[in-house]
Amino acid sequence: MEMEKTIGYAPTPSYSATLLVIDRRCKPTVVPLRGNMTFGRRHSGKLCDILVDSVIVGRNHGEFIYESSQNAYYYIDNNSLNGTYINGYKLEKYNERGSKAFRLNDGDILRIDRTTLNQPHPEAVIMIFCLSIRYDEKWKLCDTGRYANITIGRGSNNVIRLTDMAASRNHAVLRRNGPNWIVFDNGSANGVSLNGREINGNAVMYDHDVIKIGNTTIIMCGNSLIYNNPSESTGNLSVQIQKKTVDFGRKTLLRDINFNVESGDFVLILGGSGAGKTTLVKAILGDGKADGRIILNGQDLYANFKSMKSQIGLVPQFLTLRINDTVKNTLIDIADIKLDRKNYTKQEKLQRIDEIMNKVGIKNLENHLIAQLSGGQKKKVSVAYQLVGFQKVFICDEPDSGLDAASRTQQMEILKEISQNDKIVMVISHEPDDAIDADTGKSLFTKVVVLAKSSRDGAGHLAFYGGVDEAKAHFRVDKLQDIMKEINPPYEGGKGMADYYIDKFYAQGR
Amino acid sequence: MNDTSFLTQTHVYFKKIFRIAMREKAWKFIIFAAIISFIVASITGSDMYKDFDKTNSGFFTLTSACIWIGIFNSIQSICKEHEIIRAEYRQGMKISAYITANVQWQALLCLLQSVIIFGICCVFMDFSKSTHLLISPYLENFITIYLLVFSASVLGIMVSSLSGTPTTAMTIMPFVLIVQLIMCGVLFELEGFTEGVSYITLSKWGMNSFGSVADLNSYKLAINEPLHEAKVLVENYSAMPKPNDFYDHEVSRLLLSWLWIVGITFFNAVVSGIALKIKNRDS
Repeated sequence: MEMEKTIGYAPTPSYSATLLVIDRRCKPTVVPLRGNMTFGRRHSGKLCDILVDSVIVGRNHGEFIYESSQNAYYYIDNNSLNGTYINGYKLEKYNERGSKAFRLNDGDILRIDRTTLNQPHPEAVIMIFCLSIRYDEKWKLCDTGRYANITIGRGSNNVIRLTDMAASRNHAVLRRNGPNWIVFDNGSANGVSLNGREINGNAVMYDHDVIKIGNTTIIMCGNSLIYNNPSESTGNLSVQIQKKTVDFGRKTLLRDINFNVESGDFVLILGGSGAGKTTLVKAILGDGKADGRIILNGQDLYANFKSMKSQIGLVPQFLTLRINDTVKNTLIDIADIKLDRKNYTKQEKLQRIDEIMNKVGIKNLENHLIAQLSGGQKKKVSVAYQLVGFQKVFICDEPDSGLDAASRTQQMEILKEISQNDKIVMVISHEPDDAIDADTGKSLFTKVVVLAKSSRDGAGHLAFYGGVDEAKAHFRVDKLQDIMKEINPPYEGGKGMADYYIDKFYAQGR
Repeated sequence: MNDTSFLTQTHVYFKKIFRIAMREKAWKFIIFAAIISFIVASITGSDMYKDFDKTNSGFFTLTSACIWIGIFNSIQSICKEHEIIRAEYRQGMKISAYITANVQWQALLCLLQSVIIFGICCVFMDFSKSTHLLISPYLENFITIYLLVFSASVLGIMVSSLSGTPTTAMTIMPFVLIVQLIMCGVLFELEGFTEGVSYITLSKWGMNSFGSVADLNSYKLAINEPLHEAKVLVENYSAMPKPNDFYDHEVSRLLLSWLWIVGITFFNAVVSGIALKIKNRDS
């Protein structure tokens, strides 16, 4: 009997990439990308994985390729007749197989169209690569023929009314300009991007162009605007650090840290002293930039630091609030700073603060001075303070330090609840086994990042990234905190197996 | 893209600073100013307007007290909040708004302190012995006191912004005060480089303002009675002290001194903002 060969293990992406496809009938379809997939026209022969009806699309037009080592998707045009445009640029033929592989980022727009993109072909196809759109997203249509101006925002008087709090009350307006439209940013808080680029004041919008407002995607399609309306921000964080050095490159603190986290994840960061936990957190925050990229919802944090820094919040280990102010005044003031008066009424701000205080469980303390609060209550105020804005990622540096066991668990439950509202919460903790779901007895964390200091180069490496049970299996321990014993050096009471676990993790192709 | 405006943020921070100052018993700064000014005025007041030396010393002491009170108001105001500033800057705080709000609060606090200082000085010093330049010697002296206290408090904000911790700020403070005392030109005659440096000290321009209003150049030098021969000698040589051009009893001199104090205040405020920007450039 012939034994079957063992095949290489290629894990599926840890987050769900989707493709929003708008075919000739202008009906949006969301296709989940699952590893390598082919794309082409529906016909009677062998069919591709992603099918469209447009006649200008080839039967085997292109391919989406999943690169597991980078946890990233690439697109290749198979030298199709009409080619593929990505963000307005045509993919050129590279060799007989097709074009060069194009690495896709969230929001990248792929078009199969004629050369004059401003006058799209009636059968043109748009595909938007998404890391932030749900598979079951609801899409709406707005008939542009009925309006000379289309106002967009949260205000009730808008033609397209959004519930996303990241959108301003009167965020933008589309004004008809002959056959095209001009999109005007009404001085919104979070800006307007057109085909992946932020507009400065206004820009001409052609058919099949895509604008993004907050978390809302709006696509011009013939006489219609197609748009989704997500209520709260979703997020997807990709950490791609080649290295982080100090002392003019003489000392390397971190090396080869690559992982992806999706909204809803509650991530534990574990590591011994000197393994680079704080360095990693600073790199993700952009406070201490590393060689590499931090991609949040497809946008590079380092390249867009000024506009994106407020999307990643830090709940520091030690209180950074003025202790002689009340809880409510502290939150009102930060709301006044973060949410401009033009786009958020006082009532809306107060409502948001009330919601946050209720969510975090500090409503009863609203008139207390922060100085009067216990350690645990102060930590809750710090969390609430961060929640006032529309952060997508929260990094908490030892939120449970100095708390008793019951308060630690409660603190972690609050953070878990925040993550369940489509946020990413990353926590450095030295008591990870206290974060237990009271009902199921399972860990509250969904993912674990383990950093270990390699004895070979003295830098912190990724020794594991994955689920909690996987982590325990990987390190052959029963408790998360026992992982530290495995990787810590002997002089710190550990077994000194950091290099072994780093190698083991890399050998798994992770 | 549009952040909350500078004016909105300034308003938010002013309210916050005011609220917290009330809770932190900011009135103690006013009591403190009252005690200092009482000590200074009660000791120097009776000898003021008698001769050049005593009047000059009295104004020098008052100038020093004003600078001390002002710096003490704010020397720890920023440095104790560096971590908070870093966190808030990340959240969208405008450094310029934060500094402006602090300066506004100091302007208010210093106004109250100046009223107290001036009131106590009026009890012990007879400002009416001067003839007015602009409106009245009382008002001109009050404005000088206010400008000195306020400008010194902005100097304190600058030192606080540049310092990493309250300990560092408190260590730097005596050096700043010593420079102010030495460089004002009262204790020592300044020439060359030191004279140049004196132009950026509040003490020089404060002394010039007081001296100009009081017409210090018109006062005679004090000569001890037992030194009769010397007195005759001096009277024969010159009955008047060596004139200081900056003490000329002229409106232009007074306005120039005030303008310098305002300019130094503005400069210090700008440096404070730049220092905080640099400290938080990676946030």
